[in-house]
Amino acid sequence: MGRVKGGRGYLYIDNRPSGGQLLEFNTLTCAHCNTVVVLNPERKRRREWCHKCNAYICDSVGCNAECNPIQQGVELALKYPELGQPFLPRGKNGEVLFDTQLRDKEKPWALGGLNNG
Amino acid sequence: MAKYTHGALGWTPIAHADGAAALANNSYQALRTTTASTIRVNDIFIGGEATSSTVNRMAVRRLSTNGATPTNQVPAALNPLSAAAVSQGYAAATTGPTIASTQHLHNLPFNAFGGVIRWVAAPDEELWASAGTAPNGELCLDSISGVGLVSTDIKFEEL
Repeated sequence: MGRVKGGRGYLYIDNRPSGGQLLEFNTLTCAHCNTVVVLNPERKRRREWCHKCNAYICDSVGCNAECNPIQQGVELALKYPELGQPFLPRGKNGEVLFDTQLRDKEKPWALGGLNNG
Repeated sequence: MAKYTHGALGWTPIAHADGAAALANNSYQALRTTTASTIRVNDIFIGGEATSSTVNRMAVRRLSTNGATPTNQVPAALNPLSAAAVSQGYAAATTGPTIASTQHLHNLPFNAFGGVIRWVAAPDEELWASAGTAPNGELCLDSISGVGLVSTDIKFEEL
């Protein structure tokens, strides 16, 4: 079951006191780069989905290139705090900025892990 | 997991580009974790208090350098039975933090002349910070442009 089945985030922007509009949007959060995406209700193109982590992902190139869930980054940040690696931030195009060998080290050998022993 | 709230009342943002260093005190609101704690932000409120029309482009961004010796502000537990938060909020430090030049987590433009923004995350759609050290351990809410007076409040869950 995908994450968006549980619902969407909600963004409320009230500019009426300054003569503007009341705006309400649904939001989704990219499972890879952790960016909040304000959903355009007029959008016709399909939204991206990571079939590996089974969650919504944004349109960024890096997020579509490979599966790097933000929660995996949290695990790595807790495991290797002394390294100072940018496990959670992503580049402007959603690309990972940390040494991916650290990520691959955690995988079982059968899934392409570098070191399981 | 326990939920907490940290508010920053009546602060005047300064326009901070990505990479802005040593942010001035009370020109941002930051949350910091510890080496053993993780937070996920699930609610952001910004209330505009400017006395004339002022468009603020607020943003939630990560920090490439954490604030040095921050003046910790203990977040309030939403449930009075919750243990005290391990993570802290701050808006001042001996040397302010540096904004990371990475992807923004959330951009929130609005008119600070009485305008209001509230974002609430769906379950599992929160913003994460973890492990204390930069650039993973802290989140910062501040302005990319626009300097209208605001009060802000961030709610988060601590894991």
